[in-house]
Amino acid sequence: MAVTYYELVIKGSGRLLKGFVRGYQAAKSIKRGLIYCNDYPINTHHLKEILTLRGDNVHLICAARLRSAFLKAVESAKDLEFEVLSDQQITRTSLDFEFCTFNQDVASELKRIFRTLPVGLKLAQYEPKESVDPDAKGVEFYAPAHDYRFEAKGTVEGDIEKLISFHAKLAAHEFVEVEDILIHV
Amino acid sequence: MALDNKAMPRFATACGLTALVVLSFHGLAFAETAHETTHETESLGALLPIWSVIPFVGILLSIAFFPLFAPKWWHHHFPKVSAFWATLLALPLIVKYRGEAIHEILHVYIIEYIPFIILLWALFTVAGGIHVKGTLSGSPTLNLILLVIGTVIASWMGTTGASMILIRPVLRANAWRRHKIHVIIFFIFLVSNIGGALTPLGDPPLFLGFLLGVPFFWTMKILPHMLFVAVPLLILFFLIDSFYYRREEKPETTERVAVRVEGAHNLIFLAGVVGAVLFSGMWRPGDVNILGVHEGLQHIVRDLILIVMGFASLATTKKQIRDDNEFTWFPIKEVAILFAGIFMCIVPAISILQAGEHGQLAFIMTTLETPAHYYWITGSLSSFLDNAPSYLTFFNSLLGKFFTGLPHHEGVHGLLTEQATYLKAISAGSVFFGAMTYIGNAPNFMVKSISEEAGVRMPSFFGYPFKYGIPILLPLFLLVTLVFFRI
Repeated sequence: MAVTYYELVIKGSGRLLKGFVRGYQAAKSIKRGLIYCNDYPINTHHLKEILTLRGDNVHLICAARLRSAFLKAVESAKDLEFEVLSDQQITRTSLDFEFCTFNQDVASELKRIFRTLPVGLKLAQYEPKESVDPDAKGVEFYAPAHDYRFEAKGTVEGDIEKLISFHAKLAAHEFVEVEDILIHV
Repeated sequence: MALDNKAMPRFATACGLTALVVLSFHGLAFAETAHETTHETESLGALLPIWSVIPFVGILLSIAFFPLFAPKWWHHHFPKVSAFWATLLALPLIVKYRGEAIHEILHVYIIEYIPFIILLWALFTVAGGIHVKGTLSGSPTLNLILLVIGTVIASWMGTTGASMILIRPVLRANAWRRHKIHVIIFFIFLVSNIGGALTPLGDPPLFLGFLLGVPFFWTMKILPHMLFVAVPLLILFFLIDSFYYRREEKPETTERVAVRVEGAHNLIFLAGVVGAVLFSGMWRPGDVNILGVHEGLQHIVRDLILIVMGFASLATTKKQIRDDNEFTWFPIKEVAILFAGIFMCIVPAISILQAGEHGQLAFIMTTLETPAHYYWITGSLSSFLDNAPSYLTFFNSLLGKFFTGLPHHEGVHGLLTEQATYLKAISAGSVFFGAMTYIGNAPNFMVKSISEEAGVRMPSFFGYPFKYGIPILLPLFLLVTLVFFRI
C-alpha cells in the first residue's frame, strides 16, 4: 500500500531544525519517513515563498504515520522558536529526466533502466525516440550526423523515498540529465 | 586485399580525372618565367565593393551554424548551400568583370584549391589505411604517451590523419573509465590542432601558406610557440588524468591483445607524400601556363605524386583495415565540396585585401597594426570559422598592408624576411585557435562524433568552449601573446 506523506514548512533556524530532526530520529529509532529536504535534490522553491521572499523556511517531508507525533514534538520545543507554517498532504512526487546517446550499448542500458523501475515507481510520461540513418554512417568533418540516435524525455513518479534513491542512480549516469524532485501538494 | 575497381568510390576516380585534367592543362603552354598578374589583382581588388565579400561571410557562417541548428538537413544538403553561395558570387562577378574575374577564379582554383584538396585526399587516404590494434590500459602515463605521439605526428601526417589513427586506440584504452571526457578534450587540443603547427602538412592553413610561397621548413619557426602551449597542456593533462584515475574503480585483468600497427606499410606512402611536398618546395623547373594562370611544374609533379601515393595506399591496404577505421569518402567529399564554395567566395576578399589601401577593406590594414593584433584576429576568426580561409584572408591582408603593388613572390619574400613575426602570428593563431571550438578545425567534429558513437558524452557545442576552451586555452594564448607577439 502506498505511503502517504505530508510536506511540512517550518519557520526557524535550518541548522537547528536539522539537528532537531536528527535527534528526534535517533530518539525514536526512525530510519525512514522523515526527510530533511535540503539534504536531497528536492525542489522546495514554491512560487508563493519566492514571491514573499520566505527563502528561510525549512521544508520537511513526513510520513503520515509519524506526522502527529512529530508535530507535537515541534510544538513542545518552544524554546527553539519553530513555527509550522504549512502542513499539507503530498498528492504526487515526480522527477523529470532526459537523455540522448549515439551508442547502442548505452541505449540498451538506458532502456533497461527505465524498463525495470524499482517497485513503487512508474513512468508517468515517457517519449523515447530511436532513429537509424544509414546515410550518416561513418565519420564527417563539417556535416556531423550520427547513424544511430536514441533520445527520450519523461517523468517518473511514485514513493518519495524510492524516488530519492532513483534520482541518485540517474544523476550518476553520464548520459541522463535529471531535474530535482518535484513535490505536488 | 586491395580495394577492387567496383569498390573504388567516385571521388577517387574524380581525383584521377583531375590528374588528367592537370596534365592536359600542362600541355597547353609553357612559360619560361613566372609572370605575375599582380596588376590585374590590384585593379579588380580596387574596383570590388565591400559587399562582394558577403558570399564569403555567408558560406563560412553556414558551415559554422547549420551543423548546430539543422544538422540533419545540413548533412544532406550542404552541397547545395556551397553551390548557392559560390553561384551568388560567381555569376555577377563574371558578368561585371568578365576576363579579370575569370582569371582570378581560375587562379584560386588552380594554384590553391586543387593542390589543397589533392593533399588532403592523399593524407586522408594514406592515414585511413593505418590502424592501431591491441589492448591499452588507459592509465595516465599511457594516455600521456598517446597524446605526445599524436602531437608529434600531427605535423607530419596532418591533424586529421593523426586524429583518425589515434582516436580509436585512445577510446578503447579508456573505455572502462568513468571519467574520460578530459582525455578526448586534450586530444582535440593537442592532436587535432596544436600539434599540426610545425609543417605545411600539419594543418590546412599552413599548406595554403606553402602554396603561396612559404618554404616547407619555415613553419618550424613556430616550434617555440608550439612547445610553449603544448608542454603546459601535457603537464596539465597528466595532473588532471592522474587525479581522476585515482578515483576510478580499476577493472579486473582481462585478456590482453598485443598492440600492433596494421597497414604500417602506409608509412612509406606517407613518406612519399612528405617527400613530394618537400621536393616541390626545392625544385624550380619553370612554370606552366594553365588557362592563363602560371603554375609551377614542380607543383603539378607534386600533385601527381600525391595522387599516386593515395592510389598505391588504396591498392595495397586490406579492406578490413579501412573498415576498422570506418573509412569512407564522405569526409573528403565534404571538404572538396565546401572548399570549392569557399575558394570561389574568397576571391573578392583576397583581391580587395591585396589591393591594400586602394581596396574597400583598407580599414583592416590600418586597424590591425601589431603582430598581436594579427595573432588574435586570425585566431578569433579561426575559432568559429574555418581556420584555412581565415589564414588565407590575413595572409593576403599582410601582403596588402606591407607590399601592395609588388609581385606576389616578392611580397611573400618580404613577409618572410622583414615581417616574419606577423607571419608567425597568423600561422600560430590559425592553428592554435582552431582548438577553441568544435568548428575551428575539421578533425574536431570528427573526434567528437567518433567519441560520441563510442559512448562518451561529449560537451555540447557551447559547452566545449565555455567549459574547456576558454578556461584552459585562452590563458595560454594570452601568454603566447605576451612572450612572442608583444611588439
